[in-house]
Amino acid sequence: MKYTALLALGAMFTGSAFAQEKIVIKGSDTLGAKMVPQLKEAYIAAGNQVDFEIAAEGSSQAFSNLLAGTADIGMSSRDAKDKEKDSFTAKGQKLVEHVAGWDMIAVVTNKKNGVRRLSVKQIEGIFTGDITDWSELGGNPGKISMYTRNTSSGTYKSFQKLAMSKRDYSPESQKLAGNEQIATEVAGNVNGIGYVGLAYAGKDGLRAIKVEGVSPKPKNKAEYPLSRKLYYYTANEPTGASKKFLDWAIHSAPAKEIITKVGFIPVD
Amino acid sequence: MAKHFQRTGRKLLGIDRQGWIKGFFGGNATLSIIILFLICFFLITEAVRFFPQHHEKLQLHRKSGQEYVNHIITEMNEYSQLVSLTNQAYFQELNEKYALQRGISNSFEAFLDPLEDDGEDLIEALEDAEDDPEALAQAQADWRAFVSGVVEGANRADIDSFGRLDDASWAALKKAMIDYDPVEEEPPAYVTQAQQELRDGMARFEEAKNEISSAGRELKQLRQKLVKIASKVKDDAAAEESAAERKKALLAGAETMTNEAEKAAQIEQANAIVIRDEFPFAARTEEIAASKDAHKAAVAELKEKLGIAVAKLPTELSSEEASALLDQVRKAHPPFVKWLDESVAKASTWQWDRKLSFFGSAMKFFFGVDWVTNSSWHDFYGLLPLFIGSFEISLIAIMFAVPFSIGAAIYVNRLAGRWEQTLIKPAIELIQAIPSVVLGFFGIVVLGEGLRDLSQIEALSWVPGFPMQERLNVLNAGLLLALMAVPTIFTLCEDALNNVPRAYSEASLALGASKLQTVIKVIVPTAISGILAAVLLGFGRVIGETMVVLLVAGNKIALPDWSAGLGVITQPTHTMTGIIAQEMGEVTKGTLHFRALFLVGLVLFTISLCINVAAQRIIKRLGHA
Amino acid sequence: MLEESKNPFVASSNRQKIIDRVWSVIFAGFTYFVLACALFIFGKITYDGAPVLFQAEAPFINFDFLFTSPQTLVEFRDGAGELVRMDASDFRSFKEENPDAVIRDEHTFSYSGGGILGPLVGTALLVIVCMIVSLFIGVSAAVYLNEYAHHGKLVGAIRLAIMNLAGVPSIVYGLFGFAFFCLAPWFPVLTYEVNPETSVFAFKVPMSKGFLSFEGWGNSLIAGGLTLAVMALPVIIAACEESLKAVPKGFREASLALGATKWQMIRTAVLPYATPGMLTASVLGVTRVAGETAPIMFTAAVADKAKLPWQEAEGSPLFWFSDLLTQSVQALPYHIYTVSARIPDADAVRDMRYGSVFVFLLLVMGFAMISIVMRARFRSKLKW
Repeated sequence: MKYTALLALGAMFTGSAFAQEKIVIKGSDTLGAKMVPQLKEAYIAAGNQVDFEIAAEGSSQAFSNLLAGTADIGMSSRDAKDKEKDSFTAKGQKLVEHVAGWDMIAVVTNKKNGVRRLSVKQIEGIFTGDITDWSELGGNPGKISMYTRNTSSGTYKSFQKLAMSKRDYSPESQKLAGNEQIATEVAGNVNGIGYVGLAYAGKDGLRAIKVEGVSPKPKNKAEYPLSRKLYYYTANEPTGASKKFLDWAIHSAPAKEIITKVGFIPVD
Repeated sequence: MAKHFQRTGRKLLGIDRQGWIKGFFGGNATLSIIILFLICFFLITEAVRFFPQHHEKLQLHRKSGQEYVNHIITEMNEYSQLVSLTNQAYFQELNEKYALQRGISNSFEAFLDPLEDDGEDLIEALEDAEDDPEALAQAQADWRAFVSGVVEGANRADIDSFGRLDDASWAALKKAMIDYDPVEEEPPAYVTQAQQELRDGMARFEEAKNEISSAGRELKQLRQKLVKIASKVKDDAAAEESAAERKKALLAGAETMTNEAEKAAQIEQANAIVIRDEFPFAARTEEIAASKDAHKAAVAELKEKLGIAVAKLPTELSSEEASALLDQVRKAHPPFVKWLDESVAKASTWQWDRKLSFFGSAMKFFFGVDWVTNSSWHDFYGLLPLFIGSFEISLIAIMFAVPFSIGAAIYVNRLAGRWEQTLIKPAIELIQAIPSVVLGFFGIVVLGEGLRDLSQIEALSWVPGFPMQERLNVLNAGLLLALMAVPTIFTLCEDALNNVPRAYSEASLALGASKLQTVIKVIVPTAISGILAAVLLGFGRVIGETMVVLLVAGNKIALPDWSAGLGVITQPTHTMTGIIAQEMGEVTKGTLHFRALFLVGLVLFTISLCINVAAQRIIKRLGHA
Repeated sequence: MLEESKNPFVASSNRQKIIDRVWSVIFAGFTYFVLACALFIFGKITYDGAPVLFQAEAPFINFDFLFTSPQTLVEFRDGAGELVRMDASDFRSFKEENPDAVIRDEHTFSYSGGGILGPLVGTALLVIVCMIVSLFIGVSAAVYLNEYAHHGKLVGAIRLAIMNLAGVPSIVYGLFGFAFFCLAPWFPVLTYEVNPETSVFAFKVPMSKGFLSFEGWGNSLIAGGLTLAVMALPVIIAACEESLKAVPKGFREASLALGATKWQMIRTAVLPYATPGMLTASVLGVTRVAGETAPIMFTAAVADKAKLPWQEAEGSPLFWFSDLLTQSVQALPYHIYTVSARIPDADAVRDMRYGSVFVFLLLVMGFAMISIVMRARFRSKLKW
């Protein structure tokens, strides 16, 4: 009697059915809102037996989760800070960087707003609060409403670095959860200005500003002042399912097609 | 005696069955108390540890010289507001007086977009053909054909987006576009002429404007220089703090390595880390300390040049808005100069090793006006803008909710018929069950747009803050939260009215008072404690609401711009609950940011506790009277 | 006797009657305005959301929406210029089947295609965990407080604490749950792979390939469910106490006088009369908690998950169960947050937005209505 109970208990513990592998991807909203979910869907459709879990709250999340071991792949729209790299070395690990593609940060305004071109200096002025009215930029008078991403976003940081000489955002900026939300708000506000990944600049009612005379288009990726790389990160060299997925997502032809379709530029 | 009710005595561990049962229930009650206690414990332990960590960060802020440089940054920010006003005035005047010339210039630029984008191949051909006259002629012909095609097909509203051109100049510009040289990027004569006219006409104003913009050049350069130094000192100091740990980790990591070469490299890297007892702040910030005189000089120059330039600003303008703006500049100028002196005096007291009081750094949290996180410069954790935002929204919500809920309570309790009572009460209770995320969704998708459209109506422009620019703002969130507060206030009010002894109203009615008189003069005064408590509890419910404010409040972390008067209600804001929801997911455990959010949580917790206790007190005290 | 003129309430003059009338109309107006606002919200959501869930032909309910999980939506124009929308999976097979099909103006919208199965299931699981725990602890605690505890200062203090905690903002519960259930390493999990970063202590479970590891629950079903349970607890305790108090003292005294033990008394003379009330009130409490987003935002919910929790859990039964509980889940309120804040305002996403809000509202309001009606019936029935 006792033995059977014990055996049953043993059977409960030892059961064998191991399900398929699972890749947990966390980090940037720029990558995680559109590109990676679609890569995932295509990857599974291509016959790969893998489970995915994707959370896209911001690039900082990539590093904290990789470090805590709660993600296999981190997505980031900025490169890792020294401090973040250090925290991995401090644990005897290595943060490995994989370039996922290129992105341009498009500065967008409402289509009804006549301002079409801005210099990087002007953009810095707008987002740091030195310039507060559209009339200063050649437009019709109106208080500028600026929309930025929330602080954990890699775009928030990249933009600060590329366009704002690392100065802090004006407290007047409104922090929104994602690219899509910025696009929606700017499209509905004549005096709005914001920045989004190139993939989101095509929405109706938006105009992508020419920065220093260069418009954000894939072919201008070298000259456009606000272009940047997008990254996948892994703790140590990737292995197994993660490696296979990364290789596919970066180098395969169907993946490149998807990357282009969602508005990014695949690595050559 | 029936066996069913026998007291049996089998004991286990010296406790009988009844004891065990009691223990079981008691255990569960205790468990719930423990959980409730744990909530306080966890909030407090995480939150309280914020203070020493924050104090340390602020100390580093001072030691690295950032604190000093911050004065310069603020000075520059304030100064740039003056510059901004002047620029606005300048362009307003320009628009008034030289709208046509400006329209020509702008429209020319607008033409460049399609020309440069679609004509790229042609421009390249032009560039390539520079040395070959024949090909050049061909390329030029192609280009001209292309240009005239574009110009003819252009939509006037699209190009002259501000509507500044008249028909004649529009036609003239279209004609002139053919002369545009895309290689040299030289505008056609018609455009340069307009630009020249404009420049000549505004020369005096422009000079003054430019002088104002350039008055702070020296200070700006100083800022750039010192920001770099201070950032570097701060980063190095922070890196050195963790040097010992890093060294240990590198060595430990090396132990696990199998590749000898890599292992050696890592060990070498570890040994290269020097561990000092103390970071040489004094030596590293010497340059900053030495800049005090330069700072004074730069500010003196700014003051002097600004004085001259402001005096030069034209007084006779054709645009009323521009004159008003310039008046603002002239009015803001003297206080700004005075403030500059104060700021410089304050800055000059900076010393890297001056002690920072613990109390002072704690107060920086409660009364700080900046909440800046993930900054390349310095993270500020100031509660005030969030607190005010929460308060503002709750106040608006309560202001709308109170008349409606009290009115409804009086109606349902005293005036309505029986069937109305039985229907309305549960109906209002049902409102309480609407999930807050649904209301937030409604605010984003329907109410925001609706309110903005409503605010554009001319007849409503007397309403403060109308027409509103942002659809996500205090008013939007406040209205939705008012709907959330109504059921709470209504139910509690109705209870309070119900508790008024029947004899009171009967006596009043018997004396010949009307129903309404009875309600206003007898019932409501008797139930006033309950009503007050209801309003307080409604306020508590609203201030703790998260999803609506996260989605609808607009998330702008800044003190309200009081210059708008009551119009602040149509400005976006951020809240205590919203900031937790927005930033909690992204922070690493144990960091200052993490703890700051817990501290905000603790503040919320305390507020709701105080409100609850106050409500109970009011009921007790006034209720007895 | 008072002279008529000195009576402060002179017999209602005509003017007074009119004022009375006007004010009661105003008060009635206030009342119905509030109801109209609520009705407008319901109406708007129903008008736009109901067509997503219901359809004209049999079986009248769009089961696809309820029984598929969210995925990306593709919108494009075909050769004839017609606007076509399909889920990403359908789109891929469509492209495979018709390699020559003309596809122009292709747009994709995350989370906007498919249905809401994942979020529905996640919310159901969260509510089940929450209900089991909070009802068990809440009912027992209420019985203790009302039947066993002496009405001393301590019990008074406990009651006060419970009352006050009912007013604590939901996001604060979220913070607590995040620190206590997700991060703190004192909760064990059964796992085949110990997480070396977060585990403070782990040992091999005998006769299995797995480990018992103390590594905290992370973003998981159980952490979210328990956070909700903690939040529901004060409400449930208060509601249960109310029902217990409604049972007349005479029942208890009679039972004890017949020689019943305390437990027998509770079991036979109190609980049978209090249970219906306790249950309905608790359901109301849990319904309200289930509608909350803030507490599960960082304790349980994820925006995107390919499979249902039980499909993803793996291993032998015990490990499977542990894995199930420590999975992160999609949840309907969080899904609504995602679709209202993270996807663009476009026609293509309208169905998903209004559809999920409508279903959610229908569920929450349905349960709330049922429990309100039931409570009213019990109240009128159980009057002594």
